[in-house]
Amino acid sequence: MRKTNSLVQVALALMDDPAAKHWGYELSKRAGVRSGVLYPMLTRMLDQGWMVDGWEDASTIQGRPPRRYYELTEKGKLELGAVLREARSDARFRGLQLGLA
Amino acid sequence: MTELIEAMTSWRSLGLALIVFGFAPGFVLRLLVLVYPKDDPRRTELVAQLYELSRLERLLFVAEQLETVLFEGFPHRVRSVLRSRDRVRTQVKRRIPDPGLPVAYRTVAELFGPDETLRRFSVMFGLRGRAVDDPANHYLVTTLTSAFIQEKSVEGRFRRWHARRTARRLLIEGIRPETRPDVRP
Repeated sequence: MRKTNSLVQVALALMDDPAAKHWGYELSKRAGVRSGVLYPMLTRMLDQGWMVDGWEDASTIQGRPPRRYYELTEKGKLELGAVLREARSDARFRGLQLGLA
Repeated sequence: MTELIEAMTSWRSLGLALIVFGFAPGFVLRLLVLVYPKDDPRRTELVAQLYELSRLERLLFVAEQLETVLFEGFPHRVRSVLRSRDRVRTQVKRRIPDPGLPVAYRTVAELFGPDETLRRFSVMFGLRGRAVDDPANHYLVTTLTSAFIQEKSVEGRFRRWHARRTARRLLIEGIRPETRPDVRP
């Protein structure tokens, strides 16, 4: 996957809590990436096996349809970890707050 | 150009946008997600996401999905249409055995009308110096029929349905040669 500012931002947001379930819009807000950029990126990550998706249990919610969630796979954690490591040494991403994740 | 910009920035436009995105966001979003192919999970996902947000956020969310639909939904739709067209072509190719000249002629005549069919058949056979009902033409006729059906199948949903139905009929009648009607061009 091409390394862009958006990918690094999404990687940061995902790796903030790698074991959690992530929701599309919530992820876009945390990463600061627009939905139009985030959703195609999520699709690519799913295709490459970096993530798996699922749907909320309909019996636990009321008044709205179940939402789709995304979870990182082991492969995804490794790949995104590598993306972040490379981004730290890349001058293009100096403006981003890359923590020690 | 100036008029367009003025129209876009006028209070009336703002009011309309507020009404559309603010009071009927679910409706507008459901319309937007129709751009995605029917089986795409993003359709349900975006609608479900909407009801998780506060009323104020919904307005921005729906507006934002215009971009999502444009950059993700539209390419998905195009790919899906191309894939389904290829699938129909492959199915038609696989399912048509040699149906025999009468059935092939009748099938093509159903799609194009008798005059056009005769013209196309005559041109093909004339080029090869054969009579229209020469048995040597059977393979050619089958290929030609398949090509005609495919040509028609790309023109719309009804045509695709019609081509599939015709292909099925060809298959059935091709398998049972004794049921072939004796139709000659």
